[in-house]
Amino acid sequence: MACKNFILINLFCQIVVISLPANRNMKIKILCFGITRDIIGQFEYTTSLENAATIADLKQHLSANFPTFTSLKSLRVAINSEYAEDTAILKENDEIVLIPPVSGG
Amino acid sequence: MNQHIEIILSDKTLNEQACLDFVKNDDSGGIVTFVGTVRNQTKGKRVLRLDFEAYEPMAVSEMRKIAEQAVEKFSLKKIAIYHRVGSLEIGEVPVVIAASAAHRGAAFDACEYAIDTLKETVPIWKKEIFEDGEVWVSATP
Repeated sequence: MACKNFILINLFCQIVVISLPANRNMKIKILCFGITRDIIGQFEYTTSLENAATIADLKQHLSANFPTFTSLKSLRVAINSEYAEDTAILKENDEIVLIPPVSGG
Repeated sequence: MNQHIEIILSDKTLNEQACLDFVKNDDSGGIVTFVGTVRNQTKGKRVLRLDFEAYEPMAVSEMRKIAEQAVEKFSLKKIAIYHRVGSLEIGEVPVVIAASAAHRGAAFDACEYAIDTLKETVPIWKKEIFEDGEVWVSATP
């Protein structure tokens, strides 16, 4: 990960190096319905992904962190109440919703 | 707002008569209604109840898309799609669809199209509650 290094000299003349992550990550909030809420364990899941991450990146992140996702029959993602393709790019304030296989009716 | 279409997503008992009444009109020669009901068993296993949940804004917009497509595809006069959320007992009604058309064939086809598509695209999920556990329907192969 690229870092910006800040060197501070404090009152005791010690040199302190603080590494801050470069501003390459965004924080996204994901709403989890149906079985995805059981897998993640909460309805609102907040995580950070690289800027300009796609839905495919999000799915990969979910499978890596919650292996049970790989057992679902399908997983679609909606951005702002519309189904989105795997190539769609996520933005920080989007409403991102996990849609496991639907079963209305 | 399209006056030929009515979409309702509700946590209260669905009004089947209101759904039927909405689609009645003098230009139609036939009305078909589909009423879904909660069955008492799945593959021989006793079901106690079904819990439905929806991503509500999108469920409503997806139901509206289906209604618009059905009107277009089958030249319907009117269509109404009602869906329930919450906990439903055996025999209760999770879904009601009514369609009216000049001739009955189009109304039958439209009802079938609407319920089949709803089950594919509308973000609503049901969990079957058994005596010994619960399962999200269709979630895993």
